[in-house]
Amino acid sequence: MNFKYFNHVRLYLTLLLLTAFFMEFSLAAYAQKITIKVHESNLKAIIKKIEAQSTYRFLYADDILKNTFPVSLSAKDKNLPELLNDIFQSQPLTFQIEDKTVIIKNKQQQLGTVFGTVKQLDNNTPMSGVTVKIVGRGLDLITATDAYGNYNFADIPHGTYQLSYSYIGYLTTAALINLSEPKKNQSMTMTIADSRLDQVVVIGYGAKQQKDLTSSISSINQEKLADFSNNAATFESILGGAAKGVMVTQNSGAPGSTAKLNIRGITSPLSGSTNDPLYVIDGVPFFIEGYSDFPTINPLSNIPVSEIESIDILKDAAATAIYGSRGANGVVIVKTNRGKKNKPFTLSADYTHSISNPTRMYKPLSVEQFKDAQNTIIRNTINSINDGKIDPYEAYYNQLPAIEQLAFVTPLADDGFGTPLKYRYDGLNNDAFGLGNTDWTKLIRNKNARTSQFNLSLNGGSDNSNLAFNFNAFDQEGLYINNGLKRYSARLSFDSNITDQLTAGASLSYAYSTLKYGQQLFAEGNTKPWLVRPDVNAYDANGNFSRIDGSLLYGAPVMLASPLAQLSNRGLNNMHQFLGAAYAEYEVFKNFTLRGDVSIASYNGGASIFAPTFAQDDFTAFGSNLYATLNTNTSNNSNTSLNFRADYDWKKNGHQLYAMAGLGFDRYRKSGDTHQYEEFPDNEILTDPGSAARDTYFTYSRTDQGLNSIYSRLSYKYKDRYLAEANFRTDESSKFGPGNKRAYFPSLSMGWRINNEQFMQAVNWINDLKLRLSWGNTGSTNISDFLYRQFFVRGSNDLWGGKPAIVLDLNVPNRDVKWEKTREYNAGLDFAFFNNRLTGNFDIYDRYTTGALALAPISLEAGSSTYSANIIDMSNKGFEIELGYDLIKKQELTWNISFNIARNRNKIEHLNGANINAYSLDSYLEGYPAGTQKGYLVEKIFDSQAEIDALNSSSPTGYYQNMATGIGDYKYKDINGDGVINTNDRQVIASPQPKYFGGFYNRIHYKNFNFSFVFQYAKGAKAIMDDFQTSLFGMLGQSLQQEIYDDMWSPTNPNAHFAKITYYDPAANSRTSDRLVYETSFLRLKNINVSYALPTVLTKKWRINQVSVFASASNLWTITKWPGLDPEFVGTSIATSASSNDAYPMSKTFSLGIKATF
Amino acid sequence: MKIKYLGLLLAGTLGLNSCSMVGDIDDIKPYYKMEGDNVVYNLESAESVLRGVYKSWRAFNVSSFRLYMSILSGTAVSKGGGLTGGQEFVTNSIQANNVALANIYQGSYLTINTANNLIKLMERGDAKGAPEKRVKEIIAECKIQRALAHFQLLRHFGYFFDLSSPYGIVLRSTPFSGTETAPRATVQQSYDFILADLNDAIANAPQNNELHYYVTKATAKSLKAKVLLHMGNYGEAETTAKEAIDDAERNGYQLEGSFQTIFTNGYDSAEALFATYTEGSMEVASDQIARTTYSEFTKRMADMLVGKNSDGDLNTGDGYDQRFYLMFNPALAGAQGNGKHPYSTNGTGKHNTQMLLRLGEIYFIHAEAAARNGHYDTARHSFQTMASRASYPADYATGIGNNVLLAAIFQHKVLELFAENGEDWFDFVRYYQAKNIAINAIKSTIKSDSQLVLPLPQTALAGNNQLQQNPL
Repeated sequence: MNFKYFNHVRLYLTLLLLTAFFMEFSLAAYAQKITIKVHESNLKAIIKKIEAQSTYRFLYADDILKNTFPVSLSAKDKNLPELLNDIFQSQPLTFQIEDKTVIIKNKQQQLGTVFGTVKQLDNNTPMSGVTVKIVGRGLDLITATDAYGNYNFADIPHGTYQLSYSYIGYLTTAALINLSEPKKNQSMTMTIADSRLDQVVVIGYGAKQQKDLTSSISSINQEKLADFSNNAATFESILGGAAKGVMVTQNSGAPGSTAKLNIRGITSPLSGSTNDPLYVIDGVPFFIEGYSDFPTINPLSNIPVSEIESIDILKDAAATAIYGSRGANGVVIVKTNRGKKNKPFTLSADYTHSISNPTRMYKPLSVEQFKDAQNTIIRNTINSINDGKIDPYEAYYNQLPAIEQLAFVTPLADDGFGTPLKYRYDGLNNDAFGLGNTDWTKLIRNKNARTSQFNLSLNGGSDNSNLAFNFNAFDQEGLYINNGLKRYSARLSFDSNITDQLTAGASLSYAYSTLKYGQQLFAEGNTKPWLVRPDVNAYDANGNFSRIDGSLLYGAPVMLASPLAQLSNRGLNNMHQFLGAAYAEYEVFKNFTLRGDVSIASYNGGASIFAPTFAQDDFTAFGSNLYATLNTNTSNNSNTSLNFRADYDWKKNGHQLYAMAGLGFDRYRKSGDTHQYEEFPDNEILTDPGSAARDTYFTYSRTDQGLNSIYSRLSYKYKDRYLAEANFRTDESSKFGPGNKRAYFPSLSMGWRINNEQFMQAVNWINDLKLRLSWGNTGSTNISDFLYRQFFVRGSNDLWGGKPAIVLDLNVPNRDVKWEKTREYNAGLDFAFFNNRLTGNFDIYDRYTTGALALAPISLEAGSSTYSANIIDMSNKGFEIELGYDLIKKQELTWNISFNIARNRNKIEHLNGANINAYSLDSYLEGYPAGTQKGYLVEKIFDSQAEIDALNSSSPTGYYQNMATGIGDYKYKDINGDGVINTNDRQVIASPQPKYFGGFYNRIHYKNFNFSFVFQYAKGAKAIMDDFQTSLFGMLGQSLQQEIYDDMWSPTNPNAHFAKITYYDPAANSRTSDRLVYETSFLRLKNINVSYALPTVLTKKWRINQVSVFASASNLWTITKWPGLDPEFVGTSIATSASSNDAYPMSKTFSLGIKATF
Repeated sequence: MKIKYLGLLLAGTLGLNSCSMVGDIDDIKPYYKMEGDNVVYNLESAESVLRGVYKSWRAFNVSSFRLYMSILSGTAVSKGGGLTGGQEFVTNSIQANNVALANIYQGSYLTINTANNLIKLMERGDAKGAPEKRVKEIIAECKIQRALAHFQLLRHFGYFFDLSSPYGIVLRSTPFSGTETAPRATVQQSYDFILADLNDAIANAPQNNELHYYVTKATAKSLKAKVLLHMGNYGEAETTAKEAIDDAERNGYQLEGSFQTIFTNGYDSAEALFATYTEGSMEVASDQIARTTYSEFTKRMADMLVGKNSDGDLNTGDGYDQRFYLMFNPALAGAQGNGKHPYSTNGTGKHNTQMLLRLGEIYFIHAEAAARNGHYDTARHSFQTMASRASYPADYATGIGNNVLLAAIFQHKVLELFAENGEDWFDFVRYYQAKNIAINAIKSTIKSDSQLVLPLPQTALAGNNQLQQNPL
C-alpha cells in the first residue's frame, strides 16, 4: 500500500466526515457573504459570478448543466450555502461543498405515492368509479377509485402536481399538492353538481349558462334523447313529450317521414307556412318545406339521432329575436357531436336491431258482413224510392244502375214514358259477388319489419385540438311490402387552437338516403285497403292482379287497381346531403374576439315513381288511354350562411357585461324540375324516361332568396343576482318590394336570481330561484318571392296550335306586401329546492301576430285571385310547466322523474276578409283557433214519420231537412230556429287545439342498470272521423268501416249511434256532424329503454373499455278514444288538422342493441 | 401577424362575394320571368303573347264549367259521380259561394286582362319592326277575345235581356295593375263596349285564316249578330247574321256536310268560327262531359220532333232527332258517352274541341231574327239548311206554320247546340223574356225570375266593394 496515497485518502475521508458531521459549522466557518442579482440567467453564468465574489471553486462536468433552468435571483450578503440552496432547489441538480470546492452532481430521483379516499360530501359515503387524474412534471396519469372510494398513484417523482376528481353528475374538483415525502394522503369529498344550472345552453350566435338565461329555452341532451328512442331514424319524431310547450305531431309512420313541431301555436294560418320552427343545425339555418311523406327538403331526416349532442329549443321572442325574421315560430338549435380537448380518443360502435309492426290496423268486414251491408243499403234505398223519398227520375239515373249491378229488382209502377216509379227488391245477385275472401290489409303488410342501425364514432382530442368522426348506417323496412329506407351518413368535425389567439374548426357531413315505396298512402276512398270489397280475389286465374270494378263509384266501368297492385308502383327517392361549416375565432386582445363562420348546406334529390299499367286505375271507360306513367323530379338546393361577429366580455366589481355584434348574409338557392312521362313499351325494364313515348308535362324553376342581417346582443349581470339582456336585429329580405325589405326585431329580457339575495341566504331549502321577464318582436316572410311584381311566364302546356304562348303569371302583384310581425311577452320562474331534488320552471306568455300573410280578396276582374296581403291578426297565449324530482338519490340507485304540461290558446283575432278557399272556410273563424271544423248537431235519429211530417209542414221550404228524410235518418238541430236545416245551422264542433299536452319521463339508475320510460299525452283536441263519412255515404261495391257496420240504424237496432245508410245518401246523413267527432286525446307509452353496462372486470379481459347492451320498446301502448289508426293522424294542413287522416300506420317497435367503447 | 389574418379575411370575403354569398339584397333577381317592359319586343314575341290570350279559353276555370248552363236549363243532367258544385245547378238554387261562379267569372276576366295587356303593348309600339297591318290585326284579335269574354260575363252574371237594367258587368279596357276596382256598367253600356270592340275588329281583324282556332273578321261579325240578337235588336241581327254567313263562306268557312264531322274534325272543322285547339298531351282542356248525360226533357223533345211522341228507340235511333241520337247512340257516343266529344282525353292526337262559335249557330241566329222580324221565308230558308243536315225532309220548314216557326227554331237549336256551350240556357232565358215560353216550360225547379241570372260570386264581391250583387 502506498502510504502517501493513504494519507491523501485519509485527508479526504476526514474532510468528508467533518463535512458530514459539522456541516452547519463548517458552512458557518466558511461563510463568505455574496451579493447577486440576475434575471433569467443561465446557471453557468451565475456560477461564474459566484466564483468571482468568493474563494470557492465549482467542480462539475460541462454537460451536466445542459438541462438546467434559467434562474432569477436577488440576494444581498447571503451565505454561500444558503444561496446555493436557493439556486439548486428548482434544478435537477444538487451540490456538495468540500473545502473550497463546490461539487455539482445530479439529484437523486425521489419517488413517492399519492393516495386517498373520495367520499360524497352529503353523507360521507365512499364513491367508486371516480376518475382521478394527476398532472404535473410532464406526467399525466389517470385512475379510478375502487369500490371503497380509494385511489392510488405509486412511484410519482417528488414535485408539485394537480389532482382532479371527476364523476358524472358531480362537480369536478381539483387539488394542488406538493409531493415531498414517500406517501401523501390526499382525500377528497365531492358534491353533486346542479348540472341544470351549469349546463351550457346554445343560444343564437353564442352560448350561455342555464343560470344566466333570461329567456325561455328548453334543452335536451344526448342522454335524454337516447331514452326517448334508440331506434328512430330522425330526432324530431321522438321529441314528443320531451320538452315543455313543444307540440310534436307525428302525422305518418312511413319510413323517412318527419314529425311536425309546433312551438307556442300558429302565427301564420293562411300563408301556406307550416308554422314550423327554424332549425339551426351546426349553425346552418333551415326551414322545413312541405309535409308530404316525401318532403323535398328535410335536413332533419338525414341526421342520425346518435350524432346529436344537444338540442336547444328557443321559445320566447327574447330568445328567438336574434334570428329576427325567422324566429316567429321558435328556433330549434341542433348541435352534433364534437370531440373534447384533452380527452383520450375513444372508438365506439353500436348496433341496434328492431322489429316493427303497426300499432293499429283497421279490421275489415268479412265477406258475409260485406254482403249483409250491401243488402241493407240496397233495401234501405229501394224503400226510400218506394216511399217517394227519392225522386224516381233521379233514382233511374243514379241509384238504379248501381243497384242493378248487385241485386235483383223488379220495376213495378211506370210513369207512362218508360220510367218506373216503384220497385220490388228481390235480393242480392250472387253472381255479382266474387268468390274471394281477401283481407287486403294483411296482403299489403310486411310483417315484423326489420330495422338495423349501425354507428361508429371516434372522439377525442389533445391539448390543442379535438376531432370527432361518426358513421351511421340505417336500414329500415316499411310496414308495407316493397317499402324501405336506407341511409348512410358520415360526419367529421374538428377544432384546433392554431395559436394562443387563433382558433379554427370545421365540420363536414355527408348523407345519402334512398327510399323505395310502392304506395305510401291509400288516399282514395276505394283504395283504402280496409274498405276494398273482400269478395275479390287478389289474383285472377292467370296470376295477374285482379282489378276492382269501379262502376259503382264512377258510374262507368272504370277498373281500379287493388291495394296490392298499387304496391307494384316503383317509387324511388334519392337524397344527397352535404353540410359543411367552418369558423375561425381570433382573440384580438383579452376578452375581445372576432369570429367569422361560413356554412354551406347542399341538398340534391331525385325522386321518381313509375306506375305500371297494372298498378293504375283503368279509366279507358272515360275515354282516356291506359298508359304506364313515370313522374320524376329533381331538386337542387343550397343554403349558404356567412357571419362575422365580435364578442366582448367585461368584468369588474361584480358587474359583468357581454356584448356581441354581427353581420350575417344568408343565401338560399333552389332549382328543380319535374317531368311526367307516359306510354312505355314495357312495365318492367324499359321504364326510364328515354323509353317513354312522350313527356306530357314538365316544369323547371329556379329561385334565389337572400337575407342580409345585422344583429347584436348586450347582456349584463350584476353579482349573479340581476341579469338583463337586449337583442337587436334587422333583416333585409329579397322577398319584398322597395321600401318593405327591411324590418327591425328588438327584444329585452331581465332576470332576478332571488336566491342570491342577502335576505335569502338563511333559506336553506331554496337552491335556486329566478324570475324572468321578457318582451320581443319577431317576424316571418311566409310568402313566395317577388309577389310585388307582375310577371309574364311560360309553362309546358302554354301552347296554342302547337306553338309556345306567353301568359300572365297568376299572381296579382301587391306592391305593399311586407313582413309578418309577432310581439311576445313572457314571464318565467326557474327554481330548485331541497338540495336540488325538486327542480322546475314555469313560463307564461302572450303573443300577438299582426299582418299575417294570406291570400287576400282581390278584385276578381284581375283575372286571378292569387293575391297575398298582410291581413290576419292572430294571438297565442299559454303557459308551460316543467317539474323534476329525484325520487331516490343514493349512490347506487337513483330515480329521477320529470313531468311537463303546457297549454296554448290560439285565436284568430281578425281575418279582415281574407280570401279563404271555399273548401276551408270553416277552418278559419274569427274568435276561434285556426283549423276548426264546423258541423251540424245531431239531436236524435228519427223514429216517427209523424214527427218528420210535422217538421216538414212548418218549414218555409216544405222540408225540415230534405225530401229524403225518413225514419232512421238523423234529426239535425235547428240552431237558428227557422224551421229548416241549412248551412246556417252549423257550429264549431271540432278544434285541433288540445287543452293541454306534455310528457312524463322516468329514469332509474341502479348499479350498471339504466331503466327509463317516457309517456306522451295530449288532452282535449277533437277531430272529425272522415272515414265514417265515406261509409255513411252508402257507396255500393265498397266495404264499410267496422264501427259503422256494428252500430248503424236498422229496424232491429233503433238506438244506433249512426244513421241509416242509403246509397248516395239522399237524406244527407253523411254531413259533417257531431256524431263523427271524437277526441284525439291520448296517453302513450312512447318508449321504454333498459340498458346494462357489463362489469369492467369482464370487459377488460376482452380489452374493451365498456360494453353495454340495451333493449327498448316504443309505442308500446296508447290509451285513446279515437277510432282512427292513431290519435296523432290528423290532416297535415291547418285546414285539415281537425280531420282524420289515414296515413301510413305508426309502428310498435322492439329493439335490441349493443354498444362497445374501445 | 394580425395583418396577415386580416388579409386572409379580406381575401376570403372577396372570394365569397364573387360567388355571391354576400352582396346587396337588391342584386337578387327572379329567373326566367318577363315583365311588361320586356315581354313584347318584336312581332314573334307579340304573337306568343297573343297565343297566350287564345290559350286562356282552354283554362280550367272556363272550360270545365262550359256545360253547366245546360244543367241549369235541364237539357243535360249529371250522372254517377256528380259534378263539382253542380248540385245547385241541378236544383237551380245557386248560392253566391258556388265554386263554379268564381271560376267562370275569374276565368273570363283572365282572357280580358291578358288581351288588355297585349293591346296596350301593341298600341305602345313594343313590337318593333312588325308590319302595321299585323299590329292592327293583333289588336283586333285581342278585341274579339275581349268582346267574347265580356259577352259571356254579361250573359252569365248580368241582366243581358234588359237593356234598361243597371246590372251590367264590370268593363275592363286596361291592364290590371294593382288593386283598382270599378262598379258594374249598365247593360246598355256593356253592350256598347262589346259592340265597339267588335266593330273595331270587323274593320281590322284578319280577313281569313285557315286555322279556325284563330279569329277573323267573319268571327267578329258572327259574334256581333249573336250580340245583337241578345240585345233584341232583331233587325240588325238578321242583316248582320246574313252578312256574317256570306263573309264566312267567302273566306273558307262552311257548314259541315254531316253533323258528326263537325266534332270529329273539331278545330279543323270548316264550320268552326272559333274553337279551342286541343291536341296531344299538352293542349288539353278539362271538361266533365263523361259525368253528364241527356235529360228526360231533351229525350222527349228529340222524340217528339220525329215521328210520334213516344216512338223513339234508343237502340236504333228510330223516332229520334238524329242530332240527339248521334250524341247518345251507343256506337258513336264513345267513351265520354257523348258523340260531340268523340276523342279520348289523353295521349296523342286530337282531343275534344270546345266549339265557342260555329257557323251552324249563325244560321239559327239568322232564322230566329228573321222570324221575329216577320221574314218567315228568309227564316225558313236558314232553318231548312240546318234541318236538312239533320236528315229532316227538304220541305220540313215549309210545313211549319208561321205561328210555331219560332218555337220550332228554338227546339232545333237546342238539339243542335246542347251539351256544347250552354247556348240552350240563354235561348231559354231570351224566349222567356220575349214571352215566347213560360218560366216552368223546361224545368220545374225554376220558379222565379231571380233564378235566371247567376249571382255574382262571393269572392268577386269581397274583392271589389263597388260591386253590387244582383237583386234576389
